[in-house]
Amino acid sequence: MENNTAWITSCKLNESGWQVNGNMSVPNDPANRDCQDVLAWIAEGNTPAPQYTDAEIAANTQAELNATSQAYLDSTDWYITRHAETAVAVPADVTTARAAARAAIV
Amino acid sequence: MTKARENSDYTGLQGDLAGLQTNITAGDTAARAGRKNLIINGAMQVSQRGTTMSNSGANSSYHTLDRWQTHGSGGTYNLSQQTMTAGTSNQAGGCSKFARFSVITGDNNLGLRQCIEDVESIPAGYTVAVSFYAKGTAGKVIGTFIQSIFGTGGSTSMSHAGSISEHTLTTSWTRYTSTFTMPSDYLTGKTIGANSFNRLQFRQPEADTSTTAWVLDVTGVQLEVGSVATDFEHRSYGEILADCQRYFYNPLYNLGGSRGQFTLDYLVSSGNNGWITWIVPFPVSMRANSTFSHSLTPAKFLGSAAPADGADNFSFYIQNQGYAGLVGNGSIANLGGGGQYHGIVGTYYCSPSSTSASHIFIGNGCTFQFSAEL
Repeated sequence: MENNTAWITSCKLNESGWQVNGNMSVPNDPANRDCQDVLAWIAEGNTPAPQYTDAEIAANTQAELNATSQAYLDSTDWYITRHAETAVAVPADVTTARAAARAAIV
Repeated sequence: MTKARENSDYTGLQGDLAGLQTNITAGDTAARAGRKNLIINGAMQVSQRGTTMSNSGANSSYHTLDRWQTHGSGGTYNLSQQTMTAGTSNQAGGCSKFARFSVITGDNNLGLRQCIEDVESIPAGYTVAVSFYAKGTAGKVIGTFIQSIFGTGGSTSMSHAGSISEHTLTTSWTRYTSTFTMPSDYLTGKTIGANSFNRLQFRQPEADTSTTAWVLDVTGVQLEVGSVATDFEHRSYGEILADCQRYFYNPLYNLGGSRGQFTLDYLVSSGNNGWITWIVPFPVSMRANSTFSHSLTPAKFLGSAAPADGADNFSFYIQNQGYAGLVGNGSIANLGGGGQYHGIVGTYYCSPSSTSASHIFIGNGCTFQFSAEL
């Protein structure tokens, strides 16, 4: 059987097998070709990371929320600059959304 | 007198036998007129993974056209599904779609190929005929080639050198054919494991190590048992789609709308302790327990809006009440799942506290798919 392990960049245990490359759920079933690749990857000396803990999930989620919120603030900073330089008002929905974004960042 | 009459009868009988043989040969050909093609999606009709993929060097990987596997072998390539200009499909056996395998950097053994489930799909000692319509870089020689892979825990793979046939491309559609007799002992004494297959390849020949770019347009691919390449077997789109879905299923493919809508079977929230799960019906049973892949992340949650056409985002919905602007502590990025007869997906900590939803809407620009490929 041919196995290709080069595509595997991360691997964590999950309920049915492995969570590979973040968003791929590979079953622990020998008839599945991806399972064969994961087993070959383990045979090469790699070890899957433990299953996500509650704390990790919460931390990852907050990190994603922080990044998304910061990106929104960055993309709308020009409204604030324009207001400071030309006194053109910042749209109300932007002001509201920026407040929500700031509040979301921990 | 009697003797002469007997000779005359004998001569006539010979003529009858010759005619009978002609009829038998024609009948044999006619008998292979249905369900004769071992290749699935030979007319390049189904493309559940999208129609265009650019710049990959991956080996044994799947992009765009269903069932067609690509192999980089050190080179790089694009693969796309193309549509014939109206009125020109008669140049390619009536196929209105074709695959464009566009090589960016060539290398030997780089190519396009298909795995045919079960290494015993071609009986030992039987002759098979390979036929296809192709055009491309004028003067480029491509090879067709058959390998037998004996599956997990099975015997060592076999490359059938005798099956190699080389064809010189032109810029016009041409039908190419070749025949090959599988070795009479290729299955003898072999151990055959799960996931075994025979593989038909279109490749840059072994001896050609050129890195020069080239293009292969190909369709109407047929591999059939028999010593004659018969006309390409046309089958309906629905039949081929179902055949393909045994190996790969994208519920968001050709939806006729902008989003997939799934009923949540369970959504529970209490503080941080929430989870969701739902079933994805499969149109056909898959070959094996499937790998589930998706592109959903918390950042792609739309809130109180529906996913637009082509959008890579999602929403929760409450029946008769509208979109649920859910926010919370969970991460849908941890969504996992799979299945063989139906898909079950779910995740922990997806939903916020003290809320509910009846549906999840997933934009058709998302990745949300199940694979049981060989």
